Amino acid sequence: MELGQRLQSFGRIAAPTATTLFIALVSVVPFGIPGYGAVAPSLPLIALYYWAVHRPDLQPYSVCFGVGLFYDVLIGSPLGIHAFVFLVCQWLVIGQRRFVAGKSFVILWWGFVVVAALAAVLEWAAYSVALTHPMALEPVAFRALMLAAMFPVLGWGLVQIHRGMVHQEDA
Amino acid sequence: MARVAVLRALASRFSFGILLTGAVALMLLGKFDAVVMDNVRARFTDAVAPILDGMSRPAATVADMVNEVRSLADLRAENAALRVENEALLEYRAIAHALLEENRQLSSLLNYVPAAPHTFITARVVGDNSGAFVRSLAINMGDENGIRDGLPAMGANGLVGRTVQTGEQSGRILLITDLNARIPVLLEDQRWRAVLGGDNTGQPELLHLVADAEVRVGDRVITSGHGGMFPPGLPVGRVASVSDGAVRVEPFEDLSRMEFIRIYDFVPYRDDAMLRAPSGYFVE
Repeated sequence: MELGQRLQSFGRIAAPTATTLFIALVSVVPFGIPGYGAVAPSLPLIALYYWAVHRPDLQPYSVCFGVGLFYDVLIGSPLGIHAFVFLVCQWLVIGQRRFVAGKSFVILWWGFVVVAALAAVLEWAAYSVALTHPMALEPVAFRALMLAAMFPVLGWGLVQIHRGMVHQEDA
Repeated sequence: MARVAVLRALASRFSFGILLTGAVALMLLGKFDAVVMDNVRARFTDAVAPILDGMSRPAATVADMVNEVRSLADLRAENAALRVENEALLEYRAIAHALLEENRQLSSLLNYVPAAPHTFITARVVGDNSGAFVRSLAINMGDENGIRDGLPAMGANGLVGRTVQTGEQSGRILLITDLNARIPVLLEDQRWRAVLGGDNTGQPELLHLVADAEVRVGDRVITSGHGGMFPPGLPVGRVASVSDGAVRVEPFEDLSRMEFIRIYDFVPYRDDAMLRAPSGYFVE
């Protein structure tokens, strides 16, 4: 294999993880939007969901775990919380992916609404355990809604990247 | 081939269990050995801080531009407001000068020893958006810049939080609104003592306030310096609401839009300072 080809195939394999990490980084950049920090949803979940549905082979549980730890460090939450949440979400999505894989974008989105709601509840429970203090319940629903609402924007970008990968594989 | 597939499926199932246990173990470990976890975390943050730093700069530029356009729109009103404010400030300056001089004279009369001088270290906020359950910011300075754990962090208008998880070149500010933040404070006018306790909402609550304290909305809240963690007199916020015995404080600083943070470098008071007191200090 030529170097160019090798690089291309590496790019294909690394694309899911790379996009997830990139979204994680962007999600903590201070944009100075008043009040956003308090409701900022766990955006990497969007990419994790997308790739768990479409390319679970390129996103093993170990990657999920690593991304979760990375995200915990980034946002300063107790270590392990998002590793836990992301792992459980990935496990569920992989079990149920036949209901959303290959369907329309709207169905994919609906699937994510369920995952986002579940993730918000899991997060709430994990924080409550890790900080040994029951967290307020109000932000949970709001964060799930925010996360679900962000899906079309980031999801569209992920679809483009995914198409690029498929295109390369066909070529 | 089939055997390989079965093995792979088994490994995959197995890895899920191990990793999930690992995640839960990390959560518990963080609870029992916070020092070790903080160190690990500080190393990680050091590694990603340069990336965050690079990404936060264009973001800050965009935020500045949005502000610029917004401020252009109400330039006239702002100008008028500033003129009024300037007049008031000039008045205050005269008063401050008079008080400063009086203070100097009285201090010299009393042989008062002023508090140790302090310096500020200004750091840039490179990471925000902690979410609903943790209130903290990542900054681009650490050990190498003279920052230690536990130093007060100030914005332009008031106290923001204190430094935690300080790494080599990065650190984190635990905001005063975080669930774990507890700051000894005073109501400036009436000198009532209390503890400002964050609860992840925008307005932390005044705890352990004396039952018969008369608190009014608008009262200024400052650090008391009790316990030696913070120097006394740092402005914190203003009482926003008093209802059913719960007193909530609105921080002076807009915590959601911090770009730079001044780390207040001071030597915290330690109890063992008493041990170094000159002999004969205590009457026997």
